[in-house]
Formats: sequence, structure tokens, C-alpha cells
Amino acid sequence: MEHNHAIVHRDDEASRIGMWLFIFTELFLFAGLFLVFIVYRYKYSESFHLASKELNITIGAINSIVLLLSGMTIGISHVAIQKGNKKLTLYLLAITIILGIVFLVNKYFEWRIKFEHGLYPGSVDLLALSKGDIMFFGLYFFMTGLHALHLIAGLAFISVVFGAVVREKVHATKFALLENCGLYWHLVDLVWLFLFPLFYLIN
Amino acid sequence: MVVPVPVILSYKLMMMESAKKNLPGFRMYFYTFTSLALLTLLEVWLTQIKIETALMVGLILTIAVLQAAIVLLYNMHLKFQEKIFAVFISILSFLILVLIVFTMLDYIYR
Repeated sequence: MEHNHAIVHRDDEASRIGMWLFIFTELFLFAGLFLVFIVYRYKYSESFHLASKELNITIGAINSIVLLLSGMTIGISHVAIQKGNKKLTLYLLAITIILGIVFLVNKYFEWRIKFEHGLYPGSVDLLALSKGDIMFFGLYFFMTGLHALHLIAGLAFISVVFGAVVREKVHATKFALLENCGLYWHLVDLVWLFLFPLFYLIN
Repeated sequence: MVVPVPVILSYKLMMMESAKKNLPGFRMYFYTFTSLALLTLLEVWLTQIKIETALMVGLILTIAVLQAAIVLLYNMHLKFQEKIFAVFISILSFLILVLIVFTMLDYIYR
């Protein structure tokens, strides 16, 4: 009897290594930005000290908890798919997307307040302040904005994985896509763990 | 490519075995979330009490590094994967540390 079952080559390990290499480049990108922040913080310590008091610690802390919670839900979805629980995986991915959106909505309100106060790069009000203030808010908008862009990319990635789970292209024995998606989401988490204390807490 | 059924089955079994080997439980994610959230609240609390600024900055940055280690080890599974990933991330962290320390030394003492 002839068997015509084709096997598609798959290398989950290589896919994981590829994702980690990408994460390394991202970590270097943010490390460079943190270095810029530290240098200017040292140069304009007084201005940075006062400018950081303009940021709302409560909103920052709530966003931290929201992001950490989303890290937990995507992590559990990884376990759920390995256990073959498709329904739970989909629920958890949906909750992760909602939590990511909550983070962005919070960030929107935070940014809107800064815009209303004229504290955004290029504004007449900000240009009238000291160089240290201009640097602080320039870095604040650039770094939190870049982080938000990564978060949006992460949400798109999770949506793709969600679709793949629905179509059963990701399942109990083939979950590298979900695993890599989780790695990316935790990177977003990791960057925020440093952005929050540097901008909001150290003053 | 034509492959006999037993090979496909053994391949599937191998993938399932590999999956089981790296399987952290639901609880682990709950514990890591709880510890990370508590550490975040501790950071916020440190800004509300009266302590020396240098000490506060040192403590907050130490907590941030501790949180990053928890995320890397547990959420990103470094603890459960091949050691090579942990070696890579250690080298990367060292390079970032060198980059920051040497730049600051150059900036301060120039």
C-alpha cells in the first residue's frame, strides 16, 4: 500500500532564534535611547526633575499594571494552546488585545493633557521654556510614541495569530507563531518597565 | 515528498513531547504578574516616602532591573529554554551596561 502523506518542513527552533535576534536589535535601539535620556538627565538635572513632575504617576502606574496583566494573559494563552484548549486561547488573546487598547487609550488621554498645556515638541509654549524642558518633553514624546508604535504592531501581530488559531493553523503541536508573538509582546512590556520609572518616578 | 505514516506520527509525537518539555503552567504566569505588579507598586511607594534622592534612584533602578529579569526568565521562557539564549541575553546586557557606563564616564570626566 502506498502512502502519499506529505510532510512540510518546519523548524520551530530556527523561528525562535530569529525572533530573539529581532528582539536583540530592538533592545539595542531602546538602550541607545535610554543612554540619550541618561546623558541629558545628567546635563539638565534640574529641568528634568521639574518637568517629570508634570507627568501623572497614577496614570503611568495603571498603564504598567494593564501591560503586565496583558503579559500574563498572552503567557497563559501560550500554555492553553499547548494543552489544546482553542477556546481559552482565543479568549485570552482577545483580552490581551483589549488590554493593549486600554493602554493606548490611557496614553491618548495623557498625551492630550500635555497638548492642551502646550507641552509638545515644536509648540510656542514649550520653546519658551528652558533647553532641559524641551529635551525632556522631546524625549518623552519620542520614546513613549515609539513604544506605542511597537504596541500597535504587537496588537496587529496578536490579531494575525488570533486568525491563525481560528483557522487552526496554530494548534497544540504547532504554536511557534503564538510563542513568537508572546515574545514580542513581552518585549513591549520589558521596555515599559524602564520607561515608567525613568520618566515618571525619578524626580 | 512521500513519507510513510509512522514517520509522520513519530514527528508529531516528537513535537508534542517538545511542547510538553517547555510547558510552564498557568500558575507561573499568575505569580510573575503578581510579583511584577507588587514591585511596580513598591516603586511608586518609594517616590512617596522621604528618602535621599540617590538612594531612591538606586532602589527604583534596582527594582526595574529585577522586573526585567523576571520578564526575561519566566515570561520570555529563558529559564526553560536552551542555555544559549540566556548566554546571548547576558552578553547583550553586558554590552548595554558597558555602553552606558563608558559613555557616562566619558561625559562626566571629559
